Amino acid sequence: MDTRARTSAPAEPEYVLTLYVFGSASPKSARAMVNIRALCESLVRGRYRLTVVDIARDAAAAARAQIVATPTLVRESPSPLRRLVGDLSLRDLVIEKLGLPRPREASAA
Amino acid sequence: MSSPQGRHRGDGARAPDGAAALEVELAELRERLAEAEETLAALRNDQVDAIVVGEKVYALVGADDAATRMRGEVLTQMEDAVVATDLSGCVIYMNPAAERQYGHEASAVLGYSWERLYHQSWLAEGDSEACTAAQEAGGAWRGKVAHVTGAGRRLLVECTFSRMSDAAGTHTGYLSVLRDISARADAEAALAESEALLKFSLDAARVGLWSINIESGAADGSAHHDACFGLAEPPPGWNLQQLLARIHPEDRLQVDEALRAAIGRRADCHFECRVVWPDHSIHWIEMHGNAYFKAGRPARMVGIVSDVTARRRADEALREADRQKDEFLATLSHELRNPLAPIRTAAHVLSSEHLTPELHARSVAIIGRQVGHMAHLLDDLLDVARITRRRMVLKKDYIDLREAVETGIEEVRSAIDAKRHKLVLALGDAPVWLEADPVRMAQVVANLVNNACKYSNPEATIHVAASCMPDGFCELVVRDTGIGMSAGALKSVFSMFAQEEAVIDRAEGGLGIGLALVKGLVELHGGSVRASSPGLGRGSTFVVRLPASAGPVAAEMGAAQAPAGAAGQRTARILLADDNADAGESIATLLRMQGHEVAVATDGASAFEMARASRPQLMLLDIGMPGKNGYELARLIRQEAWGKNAFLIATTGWGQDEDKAKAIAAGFNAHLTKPFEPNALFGLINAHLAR
Repeated sequence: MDTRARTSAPAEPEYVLTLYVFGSASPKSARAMVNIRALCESLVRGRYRLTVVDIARDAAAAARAQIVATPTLVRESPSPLRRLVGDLSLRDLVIEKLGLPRPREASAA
Repeated sequence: MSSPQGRHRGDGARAPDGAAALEVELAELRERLAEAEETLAALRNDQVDAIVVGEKVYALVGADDAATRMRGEVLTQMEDAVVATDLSGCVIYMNPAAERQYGHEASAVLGYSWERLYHQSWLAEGDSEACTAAQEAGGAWRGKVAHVTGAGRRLLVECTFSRMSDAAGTHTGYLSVLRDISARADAEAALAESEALLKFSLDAARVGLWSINIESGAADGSAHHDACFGLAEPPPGWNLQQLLARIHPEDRLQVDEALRAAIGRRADCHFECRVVWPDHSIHWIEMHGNAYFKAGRPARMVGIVSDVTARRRADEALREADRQKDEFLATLSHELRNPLAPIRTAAHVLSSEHLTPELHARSVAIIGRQVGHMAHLLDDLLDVARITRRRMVLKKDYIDLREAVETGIEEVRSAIDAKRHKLVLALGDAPVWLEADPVRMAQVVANLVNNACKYSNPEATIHVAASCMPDGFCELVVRDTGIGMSAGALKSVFSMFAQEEAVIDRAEGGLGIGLALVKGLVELHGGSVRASSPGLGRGSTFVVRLPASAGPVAAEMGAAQAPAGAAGQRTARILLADDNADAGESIATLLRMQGHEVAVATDGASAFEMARASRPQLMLLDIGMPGKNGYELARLIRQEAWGKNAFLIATTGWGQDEDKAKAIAAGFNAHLTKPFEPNALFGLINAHLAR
């Protein structure tokens, strides 16, 4: 039973992302959230995990992750670690930096 | 980019040669540098809203932020939930009110479809189309929709859906302002329910609402209010003057004063008054009112009104019944007192030294007649009470109505003779059989004939007829040529203490319950009685109809008519026990006159001693005696050898079946209810002696 439970446990998602924001009311942080979610939902739905960390509430988390400005998106996995600063509105750049499948590939997948 | 050399401790990096290791490190440094440059670019391009130095966070205020911030703060302060979506329906903004209303933080929802927040359904058909049409026309749609939140909470939402455009006028998304009005809707529903309940209560109680504007006099009221004034619908221009005009003239002033006083004293007012309906009928209403003040001045009077005519009439009927009862009690005392004077006189005569045999006979006759009259009155009274309380028990038998007529007439013979009335009987040759209580039938006849005697002049003719009718009923007709009755008197002639005839009734004596008793007795027998009269001074006719019967078996008749005669009489030794010495001695005298040998005891103990000494054949024992009561005495006697075959008769004032059963259980052979007819006692004695 234990063995089966372990083997049937959901695997770690392919893309593990953390978005550091400064409150959800800030337009830039809000835009970053909207942009990264919209992008992931359209390209890697079901294959990613996005965690939003509000440094207005948890400044220590920003220091731990060596964040210098918000919004910053961190690709935790796959390695190597990657950081993207800004509202993530440049879609193609974000795709390239995160190594996400291109829209064509996504539709083929 | 994601090649194995990127892994710091990965398998691929386990045994790198020196050059390869340096290459990896270099690539990593380049990447770090690129990141730093990008961060700086982002800062320069105003893409950053805060910077982190150590554990401190510094918010950055951009060039366009003043206006944005103000808008943001307005939205943040709003009580209404605000949700903005892009063209694809992704949430791009939600304010704190929306976070509270739908139970999600913005950070968890931004970028997802709005369907993460709530499930929406339209409330009315066509709303969806109307909303689309309004937005396409560049406007907004306002209405109500139902939402179910992610947590399953149901909300009623007042909403405004509009399109968002950027500065260039390009359609960029949608804006929803969503006000949760569930609480308001609940309150409205509770209010509606409370109002419905109030309306139901007012309707059920037939209470109307009214309101008067004190300054202008204008008034209005509910449908029940209108009904109280006999109006089918609200009268045009209804006001205080109109209202007062419909109040009975005798009550108007009092009502006007009551209303003014209530306003003046700032107190409630409450009164009952008569109103005149449009059809001129008079009704009673009850009004409660309360004045309301505005800025210290009386503004409105508001209250309730109900029609209390039925209660008022019932009150009046009750008062009338009470008055009749008082009058009846006065009559009753008078009627019971009346015979006492001649009895007292006769007793005086009997004790006089100058008593002659003639005087003796006349005095005895007077006493007998007056006692009979009193007994008759009391019997009638008790019978009416029994019928009213449904306690009358009929001892039915097959009887010939003609015999009941003869018995009944004998009962009132003295009344007939006193006014020298002429009695004409039409009884026919054949028996008129019916199943009835013979005593009660005779009572019906006696009361009807007595009534005819009372209301006829001396020497008048009274007709009495009994016959079988072809329709299976028998009829008893009593017709007189007396004073007759008015139509009004005919209506109430059979009711107790009928008042129309009160004056005459009083003059003629009697309680005025005779006819009520007749009606009650006849109806107990399944029959009916009606009275008719051509008018005052032209006589009255009473017709009793009763279901006829096929007739009795001959043997039963013989048994029913067995007389308590004196033939074959023998004498006996009798012991009589009664704590009322007079009562005991008077019965003893009667028995001795029959030739019996009688001893009298006045308590239970001495009765037992006397019985043991004389061993009487018959014992007549009172139940309620001091020392030993009748039941105990009977049980003791039955235990003795000499008492086993004695004939024991119980005498008591209680004649219920259970009293009789108790006597039999104690060992008595028979039971007599006091006061008993001497003949009943003789009958019992003779029956025992004849065995």
